[in-house]
Amino acid sequence: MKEFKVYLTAFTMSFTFSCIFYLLFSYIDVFHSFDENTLITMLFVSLSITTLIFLSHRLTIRSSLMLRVSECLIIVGILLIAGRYFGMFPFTPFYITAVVSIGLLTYTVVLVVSYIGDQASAKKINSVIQSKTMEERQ
Amino acid sequence: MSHIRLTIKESTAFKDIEIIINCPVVDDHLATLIELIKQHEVILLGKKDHRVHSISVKDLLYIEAVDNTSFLYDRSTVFESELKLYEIEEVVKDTRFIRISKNLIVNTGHIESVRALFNGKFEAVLTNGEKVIVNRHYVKSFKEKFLN
Repeated sequence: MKEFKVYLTAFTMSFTFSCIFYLLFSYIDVFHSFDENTLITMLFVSLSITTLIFLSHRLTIRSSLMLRVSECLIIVGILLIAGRYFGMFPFTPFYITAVVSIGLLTYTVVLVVSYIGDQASAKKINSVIQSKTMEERQ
Repeated sequence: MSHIRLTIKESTAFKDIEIIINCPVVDDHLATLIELIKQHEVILLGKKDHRVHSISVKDLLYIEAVDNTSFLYDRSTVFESELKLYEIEEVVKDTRFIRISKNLIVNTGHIESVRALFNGKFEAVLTNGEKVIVNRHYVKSFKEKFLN
């Protein structure tokens, strides 16, 4: 259940930030306006990416670098499939670059937010360690 | 934190040493005390220089498996154990030890500080200055060991 929450959080963050980035690109007229179809498509793309990343974490990839590379490949792969076979965006080099940029930006934001959360946990753990050490010395 | 009354009954009528804790609830302070008692009582056998040593787990910093052999590390010495890592994990399960990777169990009582790494892992600095890495799959249980 707790593991499910981790991936649910990642999915929610990636969906939120990909929508935000799409809106920004739409504001500068790179993409058409954000509508219900766009929302549904973004939802399925985020869900597909999160599901595949969850499955990739079941593989025993020991190298952190290889794990990150595999996650990036999943993101790029899903986005290209969404564009090529589901018509999510015009499949031209310009739009492919814009969409892949959104995908990788969103991925970076999710990583950074997770890291900030881990730093907060590390701080709490260090506080617990210090108080236990002081207790044992008394 | 409520006051703890310590009562010791010494008699030759008792065959074993038994510690009974009467309490309304096991709070954090008491849980720490219980862990400490367990750490003092659990002994592992380790081989070094063809001699077998009895080692209290409270003195061990971590236990590592290399090529199917388990090694017990205290501050300055390494002992070889006859037990497999999963067997040792079972022996130390109610103490401060926790598995942090496929091959390593660490004594959280000997962790001085931790820091988060950008790759989703944690790095723990031990009391002898050594650093060990908490792998991503074990980070959740590692956090729970301290924060729950």
